[in-house]
Amino acid sequence: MYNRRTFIQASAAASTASVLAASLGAWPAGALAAASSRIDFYKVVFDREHPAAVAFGQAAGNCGLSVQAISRDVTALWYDDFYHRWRQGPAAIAGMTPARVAYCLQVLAQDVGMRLIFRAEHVPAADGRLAHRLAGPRSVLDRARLLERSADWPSGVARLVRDCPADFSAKSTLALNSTSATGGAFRQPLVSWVIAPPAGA
Amino acid sequence: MPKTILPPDVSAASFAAALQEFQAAIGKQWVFSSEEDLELYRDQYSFFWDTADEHLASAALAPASVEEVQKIVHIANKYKTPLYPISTGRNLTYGGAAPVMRGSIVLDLKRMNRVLAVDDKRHFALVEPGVSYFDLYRYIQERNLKVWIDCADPGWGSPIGNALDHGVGWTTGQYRDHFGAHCGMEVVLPNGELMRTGMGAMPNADTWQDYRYGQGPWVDGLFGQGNFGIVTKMGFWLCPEPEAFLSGEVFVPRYDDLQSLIEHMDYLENSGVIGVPSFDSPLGTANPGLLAEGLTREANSDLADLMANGWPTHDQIEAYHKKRGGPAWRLIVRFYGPEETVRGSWAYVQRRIGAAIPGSTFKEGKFLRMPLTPEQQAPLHLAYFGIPNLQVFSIVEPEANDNVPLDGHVDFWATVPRTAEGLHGGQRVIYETQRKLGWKTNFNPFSSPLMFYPRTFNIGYSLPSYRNDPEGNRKGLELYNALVHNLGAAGYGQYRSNIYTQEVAAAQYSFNNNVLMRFREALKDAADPNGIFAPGRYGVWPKRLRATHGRSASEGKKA
Repeated sequence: MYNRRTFIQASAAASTASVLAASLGAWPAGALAAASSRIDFYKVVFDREHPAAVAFGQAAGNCGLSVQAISRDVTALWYDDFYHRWRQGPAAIAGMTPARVAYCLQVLAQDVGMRLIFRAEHVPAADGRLAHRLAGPRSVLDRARLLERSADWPSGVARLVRDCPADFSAKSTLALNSTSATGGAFRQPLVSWVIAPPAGA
Repeated sequence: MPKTILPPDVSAASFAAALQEFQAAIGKQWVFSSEEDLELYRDQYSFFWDTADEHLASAALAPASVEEVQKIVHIANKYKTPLYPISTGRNLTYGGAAPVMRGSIVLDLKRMNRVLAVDDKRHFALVEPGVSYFDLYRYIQERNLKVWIDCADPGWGSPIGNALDHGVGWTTGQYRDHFGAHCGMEVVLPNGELMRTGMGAMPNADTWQDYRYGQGPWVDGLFGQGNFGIVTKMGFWLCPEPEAFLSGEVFVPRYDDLQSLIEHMDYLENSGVIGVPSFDSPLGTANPGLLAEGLTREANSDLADLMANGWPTHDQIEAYHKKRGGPAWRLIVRFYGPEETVRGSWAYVQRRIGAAIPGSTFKEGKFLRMPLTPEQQAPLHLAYFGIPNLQVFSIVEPEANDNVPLDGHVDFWATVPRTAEGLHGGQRVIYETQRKLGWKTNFNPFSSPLMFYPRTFNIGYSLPSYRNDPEGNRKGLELYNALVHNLGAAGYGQYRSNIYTQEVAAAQYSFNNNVLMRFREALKDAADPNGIFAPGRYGVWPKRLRATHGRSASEGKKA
């Protein structure tokens, strides 16, 4: 569970503080999905070894979502937590993690009827900037262009995730190149993702 | 993903009629034919992603019982719709849940997921195909049973599926050969009859999971990497929980100490003194099997120079070693058992190898008492302790191995003799094949083997596959096929293969005009005359599809 101590530990592990600067107000309220259509997340996962993922996790926590840190390996989180929760029925999750963590959870969630609804790769380029490759509901991608201009893109992604509708029908893709540098905060691609039960499940 | 795939030589009308009968047999909700549902039965790491050659399923069925499996088999015979059974479908690098033949109906056995028995006095388990290693481990832990499983990496696979694909684990020789550790099967045959093997064939016998042979010809082997039946139950021998674990490292100084060290390792493992060993060279790149233990190594420009102009001579290798310094080889030994035994065994290893190989040195590793606490487990490669996990996904990240992209990878593993000559022979074939085809080579005289099976080395690696790079996939498949051919010509065979490469791998086993394959085909024709079970699996095609290799007549023979 997310608590203050979790984030203190996670933040201490981060090598840069700049990505932690909250600029949540930069996201137009009018662009947000109606609260009633939002997914009810059971947990939001972030990898504490990646500063951008830590920033994402903090922003998600600030959005009121229940946040869980991992360190690369998702075994314990699934085995001790998600497995038991999902035995009671599907429960949506989201996160910013290395790609293989996302893939593991996607596969495990399939067993309880859930599907990947949103996925965004955040890939560092040679010039230190970021490429974002997104796939998901059109309504989410319509707002994602804001990622191009924001230094605090992890917080922007947290907002996109928070407002992601349970809409599997209108999928779209989008490729963006950030105008802001990563500051060398990470070399490895990260993935943001939303896994949820199909509507009506 | 293309829409509406049909099995070869089955009309749309017949297929629709078959689906209707399947729905009546197992319930409409367990017959999957929509594009979205079939997405889950794609090979996520395919070399042929989104191409006309991708091995897509035409439908998928998820029965809940043996009786439902039998109903499905009867319907499949009626319409000649091929069935491709999977257990959990999670052997991702070998094809996942996708069939060997495009258009097959995947028979997804995940709903048959009961642990039927675990006996911690006679040390066995009896499970259904949908049981995963996690499920079996959880069952054992919740009941505080004092037995270990030997699990594959990752642990979301199924003991039955892994064993039937000749998968392997990480503890001791008699358990990590998963097919070798099975005892008794229940099988639905191609005609729908239910058969039990070994002592299971004797009504009232209470030794089904204790004595596997029963009497007469033993047929279990037909179902490993086979297409002769659908295994619905399988027994496995389990290891009694050991009291303790100890590991140790052995270093030997000279490059030419390799053969002697291998012989000692063989003696120790084949006499049951040690569990799974690991073997590598501090002069080479990191052993991928040891990455979880934090044994990554920095890039070595001297090694790159050594390998830049062809396989090095013995003198060049010696000069490289002299420049780098340090021991030439390392053997990691692992002991499982009572504390007195493991400590005594470690003392014996030091005495034996110390007396035989001048200059050898020793370093004691972890000593742990069982059961492990969560704190003790945290830094360990858990598979060595029979604990299923997903750690491999956190190890094989792109930054750890630049041959592994985000999209996927296809593994190949050749079986070579446990000799210095065998190891170097296999390494050299891979190195020269990679170079000839313009690949950056990652093999050298110090490349590490893995110890999948207790009497051979396995050498190999992961070839990258892509979602959006057809040319990259073409090159990957070209390299894979060339490696299989070239290794095969040298006598080094694949121990298992991806769904796209089983045929070329099987073709290497060609002694006496391919008599082994012809014998398998004769059995296939007799046991499965309609050719409905997993056509093409490991190169065995049923008679009606043998000429076309599973392509519809209109598509012609597969190249």
